[in-house]
Amino acid sequence: MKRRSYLAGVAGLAASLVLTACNNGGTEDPSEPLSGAGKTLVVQGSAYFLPVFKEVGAQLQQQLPGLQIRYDELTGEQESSTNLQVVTSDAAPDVADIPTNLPPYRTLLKAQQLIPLDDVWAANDLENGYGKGLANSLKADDGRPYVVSYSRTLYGVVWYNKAIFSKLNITVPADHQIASMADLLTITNALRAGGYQPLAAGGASNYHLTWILDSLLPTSATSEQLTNFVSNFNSKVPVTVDYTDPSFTAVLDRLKEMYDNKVFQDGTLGMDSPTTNALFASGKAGMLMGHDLSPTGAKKTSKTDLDLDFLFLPPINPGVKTLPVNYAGNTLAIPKKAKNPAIAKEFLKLLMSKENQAKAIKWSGGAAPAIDLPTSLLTEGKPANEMALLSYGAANGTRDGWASIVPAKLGTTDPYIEKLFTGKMTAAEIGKALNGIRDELRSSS
Amino acid sequence: MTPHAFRRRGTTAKVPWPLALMLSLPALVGIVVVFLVPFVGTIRLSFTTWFGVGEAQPVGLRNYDALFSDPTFYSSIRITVLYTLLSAVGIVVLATVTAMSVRRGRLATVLRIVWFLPAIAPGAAVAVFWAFALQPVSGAVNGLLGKVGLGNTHAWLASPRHAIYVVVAVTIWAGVAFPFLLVVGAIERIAPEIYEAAQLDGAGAARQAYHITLPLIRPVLAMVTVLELIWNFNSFTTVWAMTKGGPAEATNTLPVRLYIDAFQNFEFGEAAALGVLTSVILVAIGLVGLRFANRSAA
Amino acid sequence: MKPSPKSSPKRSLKLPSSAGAGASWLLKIVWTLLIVVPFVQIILLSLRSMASIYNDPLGFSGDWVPRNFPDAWAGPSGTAGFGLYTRNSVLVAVVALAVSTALGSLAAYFTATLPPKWRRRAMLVPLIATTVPTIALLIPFFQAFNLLGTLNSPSAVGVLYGLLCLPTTVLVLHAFFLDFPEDIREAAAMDGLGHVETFFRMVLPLSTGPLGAVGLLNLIWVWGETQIGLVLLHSSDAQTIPLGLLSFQGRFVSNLGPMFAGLAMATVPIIVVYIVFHRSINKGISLGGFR
Repeated sequence: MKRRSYLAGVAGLAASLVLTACNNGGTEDPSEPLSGAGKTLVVQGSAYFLPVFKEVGAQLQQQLPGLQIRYDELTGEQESSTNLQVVTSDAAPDVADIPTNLPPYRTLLKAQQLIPLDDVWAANDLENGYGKGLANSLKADDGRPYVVSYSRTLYGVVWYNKAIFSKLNITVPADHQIASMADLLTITNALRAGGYQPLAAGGASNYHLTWILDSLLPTSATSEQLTNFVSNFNSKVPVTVDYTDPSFTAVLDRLKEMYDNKVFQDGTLGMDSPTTNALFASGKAGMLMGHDLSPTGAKKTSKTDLDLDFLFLPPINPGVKTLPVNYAGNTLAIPKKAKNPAIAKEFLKLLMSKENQAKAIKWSGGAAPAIDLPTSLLTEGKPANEMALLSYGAANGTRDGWASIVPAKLGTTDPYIEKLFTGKMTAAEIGKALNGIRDELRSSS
Repeated sequence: MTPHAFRRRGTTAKVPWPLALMLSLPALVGIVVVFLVPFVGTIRLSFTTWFGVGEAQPVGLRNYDALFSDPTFYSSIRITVLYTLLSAVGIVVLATVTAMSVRRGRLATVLRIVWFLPAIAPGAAVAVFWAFALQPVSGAVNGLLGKVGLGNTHAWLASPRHAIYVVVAVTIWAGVAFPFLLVVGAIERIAPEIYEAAQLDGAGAARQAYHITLPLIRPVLAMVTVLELIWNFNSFTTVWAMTKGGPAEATNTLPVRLYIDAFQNFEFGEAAALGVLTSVILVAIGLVGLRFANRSAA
Repeated sequence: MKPSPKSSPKRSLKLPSSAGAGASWLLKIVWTLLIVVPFVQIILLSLRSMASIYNDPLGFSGDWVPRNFPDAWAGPSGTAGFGLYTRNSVLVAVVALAVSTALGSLAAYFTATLPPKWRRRAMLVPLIATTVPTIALLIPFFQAFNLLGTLNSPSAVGVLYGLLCLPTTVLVLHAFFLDFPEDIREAAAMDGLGHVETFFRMVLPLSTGPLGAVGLLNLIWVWGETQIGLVLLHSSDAQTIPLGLLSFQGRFVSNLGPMFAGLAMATVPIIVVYIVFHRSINKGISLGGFR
């Protein structure tokens, strides 16, 4: 008798294992018109953009009464790693957060795990909205789009705390451009002398130092060289410039010079980007290596109204402007395993409408729209300080970020820069190593 | 009570062996299913290349070749061995010293509870706390040093030279508690008469500790040392939560490396090869350690 | 060196030299501080705002922000916070303990009744299993869970944790059951109880001490496990407390107050459980239960 109850227990366990495998939420029937009743749409997003997705989701719920939406928040680390497994599992989201420059994207394409989104693109004429260059870079090798880019991120920007600067009587150039290393060192030394940490950068975050490289590379390389740098990992493009070229190594040398002159906060190599942001938001560091949403993040963190403005690092070639770097990899996709692909497409169409793209600037707290918008839509009703960087980019132009275009295997240079800082590798050795990775990518593409 | 009572035969309570086997099987099969079957799976996977989705492609020994020709593989082994040795030795020494210091008294009962707390707290919480406490300016350790005038900008975790020792220190802090209680248990089993006799001979506390306690708890210490070597060789949480293998790969131990290879770079085949090689090293440590432990127990 | 306190006459066994006693006291004080201060710090900082943490990293001054706790409980965007993590951790722990205790105690008891030769062979299985390193199992675990569709399922991970606890459970309980008084079992047999009934009605109720001890050891391991969880529980609403902690910083876009509230919620409950049951844990360890 006891034995039987025991066996029943084992059977129960096995059953529970199997049961947990089954997912609730029903599956769409393509023959029926779209209905939200009884369906749960699962949408992934990073903390910065979930507020936007929630607004768009609310609109979708009005269109499809009864629709439930679950928002899964991803950290940057998940985006670049384990999310691949989530997206290919039976627990796949309907709208997946798949940045195009991170490893999961290419792996998913290779394994044909994403649904083509031609109809989503057509609905909002994204081909023209993105512009030819971006539109092409967002398409897979078969010429079809599998993602939509919902926002550009302008990065490689130095934010500074105005209160600290005025307290220490540090003057900044009116055109946001720090002209030379000497000028930069004047600022950082003054901050250190005043008891503040200078430029906060997350040397342990695996991407923060590369942002600096991305912002300075266009001030060192010619635009022909830059175009080749961002494309010559593809075997169809002939290599006209190597990573051992002075245009590249000069940037590495500059990074080393900055590190040696204590431009960065103490312990930069031991801090990830959240810790670094906290250092800046709490008023311990005068400057932050950041992006267009850094002020929103800092304000959310410090719960006070920080008065911030932006600067650009001194260019490698004197006289050239350092410009915000453009990242278009904020992309969403629909996995093959999604339960509600048709509703997911409606979500993406809504998100990419001109009206919502314009409103997203405010919902996100200043993120750049992914598509070209008429100026009226761009600035209407937006707070001036959130718009400052966007307007600057619109007026002076932005540059392509090398690391946000090339595959992560090549573009993740932080481990090398760490070795450069600590004297384990020279700029020339790093150039050589990158040449090797590029050639490996060429031979496999 | 008769020790090993079941070994006596012919009692009325003898359980027929088919029934005993049947009731033991679920657990034994469960163990085989979650330990031995996956291990074979790892060995098989190590001869393939697999990106996390789709089919694995057989590649023979290529993953092993790639590892053996990669200089960072050897530095990972070096770092893991350094981390393991320092942590294990530190833990065993501190556990022994602390256990000896709370032998008797009412205070000892309280201290035993308090000193065991680091073993209770989840490893991730401990590591996240210390990683923060050791940050320059904002961390408590730096705050304390700043208050006593030693400067508050020490960035130990940012230094490829020092980071590994910081991680070792936190590992020791979290790891002492468990062997501490084991050693306390071993000391308690020593008959008090032995100490009384030593005292009559005029032996002080230090001499008693060295000449009586240490030799008598040697078998336990040997076993604890072997276990600590194995555990720390496998340790993942502390390193991952504190440094993720950085800076400049200075704390890239084998378990961290395997996680990065498999779940960040999607090189599952190469990661599996790393897992197999790690197991080989570990079994070697275990065999040598067990021989050593048996000898000192004898 | 500090002057040694006078040794009390009660402790007649110990007449230490003053230097030795001084060193021993110093060690006790320093080590106790080293252990207690971090826990006090976690609690202090969990009640501070981000700005105060940066201004006084020791946590003794600053504003009082109990809000950190509801913030951490709800999560940064109200989707996945410590409320959910705690629920998942409890689910994982309950399932794991049920599996390991049920299967483990049966196997430990009934292998003890086998003839010695077979008993030793059976015990080889858990012994060998303890030598297999976790990192050599991770990828197959992931593959199996992927295949079964149980990724992101806390209860399935609980079953796996329970099975992984079996070697320790079986080894420890087996050592205990070997010494189980024969007369009790004989008395049960005289009363007409079958073998299985004897186990459930006589042996188990008399073994609550060791069962509890092994259970607590397993609980500590399950409560803190991250390496396997990191691979099998990806989505934020499926994660356990330690996994949530690892990604908490990123989720909160670096808001430290709630992060420390999270640390407090991860450590304090299990410490309370330990303090209540510490006797039985200590007994478990002296029985030979290792991690």
